Amino acid sequence: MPAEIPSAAVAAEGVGHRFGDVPALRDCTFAVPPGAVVALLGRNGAGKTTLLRAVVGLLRPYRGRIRVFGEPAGAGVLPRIGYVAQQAPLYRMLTVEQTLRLGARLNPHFDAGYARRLVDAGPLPVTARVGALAAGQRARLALAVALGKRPDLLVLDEPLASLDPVARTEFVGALMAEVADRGTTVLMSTHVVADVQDVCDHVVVLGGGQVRLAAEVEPALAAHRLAVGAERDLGALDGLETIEVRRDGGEFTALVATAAPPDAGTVTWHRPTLEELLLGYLRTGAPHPSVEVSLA
Amino acid sequence: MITFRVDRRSGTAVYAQLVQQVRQAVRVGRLAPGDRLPTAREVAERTGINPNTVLRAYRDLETAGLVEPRQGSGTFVRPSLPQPQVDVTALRQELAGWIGRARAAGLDLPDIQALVTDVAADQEESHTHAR
Amino acid sequence: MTWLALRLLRPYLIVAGSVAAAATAYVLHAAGVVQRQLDRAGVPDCRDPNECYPSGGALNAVLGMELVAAFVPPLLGLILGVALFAREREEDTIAFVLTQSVPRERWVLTKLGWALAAGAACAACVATAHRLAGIRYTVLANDTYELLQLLHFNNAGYMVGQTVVLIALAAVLGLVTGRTLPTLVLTVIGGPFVVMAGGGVAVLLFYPLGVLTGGTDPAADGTAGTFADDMTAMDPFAYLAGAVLGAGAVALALLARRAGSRASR
Repeated sequence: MPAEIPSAAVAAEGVGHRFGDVPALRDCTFAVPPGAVVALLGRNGAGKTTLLRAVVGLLRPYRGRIRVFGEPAGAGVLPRIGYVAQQAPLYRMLTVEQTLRLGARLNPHFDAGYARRLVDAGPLPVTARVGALAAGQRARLALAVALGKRPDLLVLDEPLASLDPVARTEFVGALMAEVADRGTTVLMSTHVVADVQDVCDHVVVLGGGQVRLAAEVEPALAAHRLAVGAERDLGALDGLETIEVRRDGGEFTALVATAAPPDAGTVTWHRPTLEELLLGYLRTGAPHPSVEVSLA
Repeated sequence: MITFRVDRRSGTAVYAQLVQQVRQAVRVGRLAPGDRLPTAREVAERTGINPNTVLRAYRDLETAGLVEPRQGSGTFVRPSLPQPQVDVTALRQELAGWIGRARAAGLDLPDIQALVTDVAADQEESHTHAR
Repeated sequence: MTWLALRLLRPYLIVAGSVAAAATAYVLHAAGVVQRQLDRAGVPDCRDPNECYPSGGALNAVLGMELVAAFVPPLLGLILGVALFAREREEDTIAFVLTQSVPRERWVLTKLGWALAAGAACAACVATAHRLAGIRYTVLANDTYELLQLLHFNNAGYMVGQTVVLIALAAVLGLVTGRTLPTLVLTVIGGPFVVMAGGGVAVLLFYPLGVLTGGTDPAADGTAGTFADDMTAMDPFAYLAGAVLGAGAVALALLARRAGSRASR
């Protein structure tokens, strides 16, 4: 993904933030094309929540800037963004129905009928208090309110974390139906790779507050190879862009950024699965792939 | 109507699985000419697959001449299927010879299967890129 | 917006309203207790501590009124102010409400505005009862509870000012810290300083005013005169202090608006 697409749904440029003395984000640059379904991956504490909060304008980063549909993140674009924060916070003392009505009061273009249909499809008990709902039901209600805004960008922070497998399937189904209907751009964070495997078409990998990888899934898979071989053959990786090397009992496994691996030698080359690709980037310590590997 | 089943552990790209399942269904007659494929939205809602992935699979099927989109009403299985006449017997004999050589070289069945899958995947990909 | 603000405030409004009602009822009741003692002594209109100093239950009633006047207004401030934004940040509902299509400043000011209005109304209720029904009896035990009187100056405006300034202070602290307990502790510790600072500003304003208008030096008078004189001397100061505290509350509300626009994590 290039850094600046004029029509990008989300464009982050050199974004940095810190909480007190603790750095949270450093020089994050990436762009999300409209209509993309983007998984924001990172280990716990990688800065995913901070980045998403900056995108929806809840937090003003100390450095850099974030544009959403070309406008600076903040109050101006909020009507076009549907956001569900981590654990789907809603007012616990309100009923489901009151929460929907609240969505309509706080958003001028709220599609109350649509939100209501999503809730009924749950099905959620409309007279129940939010505080009495199960986590999955609350997540569904929060998604209904967010979708009721008819947003062009949906920002979801760990939306699947608290859901059981059934609720997860339903939630993802509702989400993907929305994408099919309206071409909504989705930016969702997770630390479970399997969650996003057939959902997302783009990935942004955060590590230590920095962007490790920002790419479209299929091309990224095609542009990487997993090399497996004996440690003494590590030299075969010389001159290649190596993302990560792991050694285990005289053997090594390496994730290499190349579409055309060298033919020769005893090293075998595999096409990585999405999980292998993402784990490689998640584990790596360096912000940019290191080129030199010669260690034999 | 065909119901897709996605194997998340297979390592095969989801769109390729969809393509393969439609081909399979047509082959065994589960999908007849003129049958409608589910819309991307229907598949997306039911299976949680990205609708863009579904559309991509349908585009591949269309290019292969298996299905055709009809304006406003969906994607349908083509009435006249171009059935290439293949000489399965010849291919089978070639394969038998090759497997014999692989065995002689010390590969066991899983090795052979892995090798076949890998090579097939590589070809599939270069095929995709060529297009 | 207003609906949500009031709905969220409801439990706190109920508690604050109950406290205010109970305090008001107590002041009226306690005033009756003292008056009955005066009646029994045959001096129903006595207002001179040297002639009819209350005793027993009546003295306790006076103490009760003093305690109400001194501590109920700040208590109302804590009830309405501490949870206002601290809990929203704690439960992260602020991430919900601030990402709807409403400017965050409007949300912060709406919520704070209703809390301030409710606090002022509750405090005014207690303060008015104290002023109209209580003070004429508490003067009888002036010497005994002099320190308590320094907390409210026998002045309705000052009492209301205390409530609103504490609400505004707790709101700002809640937005900044994002946690309920630290907000409570900091408000309890910092509140008196803010209130005293308000009083200090009032003194600075009052002295030149008093001198300019040819009035007497309230401090000098305060030590020498009778209690009625004290009150007269203190009154302008207390009103001024109340006004300064009210202005402080407004200033804090504006600060809350800014803090709201930065509230994070």
